[in-house]
Amino acid sequence: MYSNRYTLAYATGVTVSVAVVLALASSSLRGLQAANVRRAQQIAILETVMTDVNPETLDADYAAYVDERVLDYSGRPVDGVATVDVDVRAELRTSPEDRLYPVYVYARDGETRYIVPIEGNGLWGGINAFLALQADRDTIAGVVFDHETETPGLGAEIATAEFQDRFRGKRLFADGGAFASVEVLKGAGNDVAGDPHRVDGLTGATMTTRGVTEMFRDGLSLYNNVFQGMDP
Amino acid sequence: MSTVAVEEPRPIVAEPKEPLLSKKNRRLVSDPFGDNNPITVQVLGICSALAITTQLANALVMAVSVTFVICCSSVLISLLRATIPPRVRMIIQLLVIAGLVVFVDQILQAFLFDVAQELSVYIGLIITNCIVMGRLEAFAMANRPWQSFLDGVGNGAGYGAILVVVAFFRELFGSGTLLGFQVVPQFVYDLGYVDNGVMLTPAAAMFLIGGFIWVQRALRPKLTDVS
Repeated sequence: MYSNRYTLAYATGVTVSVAVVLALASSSLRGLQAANVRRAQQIAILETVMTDVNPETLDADYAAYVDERVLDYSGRPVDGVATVDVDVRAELRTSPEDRLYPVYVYARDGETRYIVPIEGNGLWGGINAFLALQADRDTIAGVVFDHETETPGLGAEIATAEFQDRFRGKRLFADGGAFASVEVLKGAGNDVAGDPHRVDGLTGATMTTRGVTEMFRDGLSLYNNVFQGMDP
Repeated sequence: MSTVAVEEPRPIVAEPKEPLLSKKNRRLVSDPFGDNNPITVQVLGICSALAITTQLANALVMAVSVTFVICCSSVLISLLRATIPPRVRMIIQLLVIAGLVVFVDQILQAFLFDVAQELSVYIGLIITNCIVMGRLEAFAMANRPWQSFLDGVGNGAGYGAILVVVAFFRELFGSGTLLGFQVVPQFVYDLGYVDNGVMLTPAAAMFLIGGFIWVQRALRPKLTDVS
């Protein structure tokens, strides 16, 4: 029979050793993991505007076509801050004037696209997207969604090309220039032809698509001002 | 998590030295492929077998990850078995398993990022895979490290073999591909063949595994009363 003291000391010892091993593994692999996340982001950014992203030439393509900028509320560049340093989710909690607005400007063969990162919440966890706008900074050229833990086959369908294609050609702003956002409707089979601010939804993914609608509204409503002030 | 009958830890007595791959030891590896398969006979680890078998590549990574976790945790627990206070033994087992699983997840995120994204939550769920803790409780707590290691290899591979076979059928008939490569030629589709969408749902894995169990028990009548 083991004494209480032995049992307690034993459990503590094992716990601490496991914690130390995991902490060592985590801190020594962090650099590699961050590079993977960064690479996945670059692929997502290019996929909003390119259909043929080649993972082998990714670094060169990204450097050649994409200009990363961090802007303030009036559209002026903010010095000393890189896009990787901006936590989009945390910025949502700051006041509009103090907020940082990352914009990825894609320029290739005379074509310009403005790509904006947005983050929000789905049903189970975070969702995020890169949204590409055409040169008029209004019409959607493409969008790539990602999610942490949405249900496969239901909410996770937002990350499919079929759903993402539905946003192409929709517009963020009304004719007078006021922010109108894009709303994802409940259920599938809605008639959205000719409506620039509505997108057909997904059956069984009401909460996730509502999260998409909110993510668009919260993440993009203030970019109007930024776009007006920024250099092309 | 289902519970497994606990074998009383036997008093450790000096046994005569036996060869590393004696007949008894070989059976530790081969039994889980046949009459003692963790999925088709013990019916453990079913949830992950249903969830991640839509693609062969995922099934292979899952099989390797689970085998790694079973082997390492079996050896560790077997080394510690004489010192573990019985009252906290399951907590200690769970700690070792959870630590190893998080370790595997970190490795995958660093070196196989795409696979880690694809398997996402299921790697974490290895912790609750009953096979792992089942082997620790039923075998590693009462046996030497080498035997425990072989038992881990056998059970991990026996589990993985079923996963791979199920994934083979699901990917082939559900997507027309194997390991991501198109194997069903285009002219077959032109003739009117369509991929079977049911194969992509977990229900299809249930039918397949049910089929295996049926065939196996029909061939080996002595198994029918086991569970």
